[in-house]
Amino acid sequence: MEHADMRRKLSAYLENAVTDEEKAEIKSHLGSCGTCRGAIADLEMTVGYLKTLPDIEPPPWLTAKIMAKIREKSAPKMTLWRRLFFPLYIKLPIEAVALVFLCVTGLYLARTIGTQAPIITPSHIPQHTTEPPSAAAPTAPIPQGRIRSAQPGKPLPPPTVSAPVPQQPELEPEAAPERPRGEMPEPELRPADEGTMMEREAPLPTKEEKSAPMETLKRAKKGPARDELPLSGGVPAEKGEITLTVDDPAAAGGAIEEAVIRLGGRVNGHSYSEDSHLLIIRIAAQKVTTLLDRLERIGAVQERPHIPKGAVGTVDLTIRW
Amino acid sequence: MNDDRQNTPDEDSVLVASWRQGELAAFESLVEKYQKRMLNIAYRITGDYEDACEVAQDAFVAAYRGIESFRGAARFSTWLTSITLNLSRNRLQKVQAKRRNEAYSLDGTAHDEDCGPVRERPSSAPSALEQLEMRTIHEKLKECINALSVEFRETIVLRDMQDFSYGEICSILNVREGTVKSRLFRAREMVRECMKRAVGEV
Repeated sequence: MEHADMRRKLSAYLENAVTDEEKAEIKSHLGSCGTCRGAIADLEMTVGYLKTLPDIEPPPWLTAKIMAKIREKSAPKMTLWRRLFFPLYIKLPIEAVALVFLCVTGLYLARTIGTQAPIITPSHIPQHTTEPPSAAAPTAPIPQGRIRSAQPGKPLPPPTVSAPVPQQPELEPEAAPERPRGEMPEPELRPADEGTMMEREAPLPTKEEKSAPMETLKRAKKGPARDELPLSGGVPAEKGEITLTVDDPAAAGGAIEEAVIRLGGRVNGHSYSEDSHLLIIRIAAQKVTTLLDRLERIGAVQERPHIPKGAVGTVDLTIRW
Repeated sequence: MNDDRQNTPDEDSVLVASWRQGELAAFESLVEKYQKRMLNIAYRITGDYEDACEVAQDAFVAAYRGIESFRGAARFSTWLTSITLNLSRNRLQKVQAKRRNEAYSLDGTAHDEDCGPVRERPSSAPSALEQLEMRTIHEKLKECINALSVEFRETIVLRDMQDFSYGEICSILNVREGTVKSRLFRAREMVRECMKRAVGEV
């Protein structure tokens, strides 16, 4: 064995981890090689130091902590229900979907209520409650059919005198469940109470009766609120009617309403059905011309209202298309 | 060095058998028996007490979960040591990678108050000077061990500090005996050289 080989074996020789043959050979070499004797002495001392390195003590809580982890691991698994709903990676998407659903619902509601908002103004309603039904009947036939549809099979008596206004608060809540919530007849047609309205609507054409369920007539306030509105406020100086011909009747409603609102007008009611669209508005008399210009952009104005020049105050207009 | 070294493998086998049958107390006995040894192995490999505490915990948890893979061919302590060494190696690599990515700090290693090193006092009572000298040597020795690459470090730890036999070291490290002897020789030589530079002639 060469000197270098001897040096490599010294470590094992130190621990008697060499064969007897190697042991004898190394022993013989150490007798003649001072370098290897020094090397083995150094190795012995190094190993001695290594063995004297003190052990570190475990912290007192180590066993308890290990066993706590073990018990946690060996705990019975969660039920299917808990596994489905407790982990965050499942819970988060569910919550996200729920949030989106809430947002969409909220947006839908906000938009729905937003379109009704202009109607929820009290000033126009009381005026109509005092009007005689016979005067208003010819001007707005569309809502009548719809309202009548609430009791389609009921024979209607001939027109009678409208009930007095103060009876409305008692009568309206009873009549309310019979018709869709939020519906409102055209202001001019609306009688003092449901009973008289039904009576007056009897002679309407059959065609309107058939189409009535499809119509949607919206109003802002229910009956009892009408009595709270001022009777004298906001009486228009003039009334008129505008007839339009539009390419897309269904889409025109929004544009017309927007034009009215942009001109400071107010939508008092609307009735959109498949074959007939009607919008009742109130607008400043000075703005009527501008409104007609705007409506010309939406469709062809067939019939214009007869508003005298220099008229002041507000005008109630019925727009049909 | 370690009192648990005197326990016979048969005792471990009985405890392992009970543990396999679901007796948590048997596993707890094994934890109490080997936690110090595993902690020391992890400490010598990682060089950090806090890391060693974590590694020791992880090792026992891994052993608990992997009991099915323990066939009983090797001793339980050998199997547990190989788990601890693997985890220590992984921890060391992570720490070294982290240090490479971080700016060098002049502050010393911060120790958790809960996990500060608890040193075992020697049974004999040397003089204060001797204690100081020995402490200095131990500090230097620790630095020299930490300077070794992991394969030399683990060989010297297993043989010179934990007194595993060559055969056990072969089983733990999954290498041949010749490799163990060679690594041990080189590791000891490197430590000797390091100590010479650190405190003069050893």
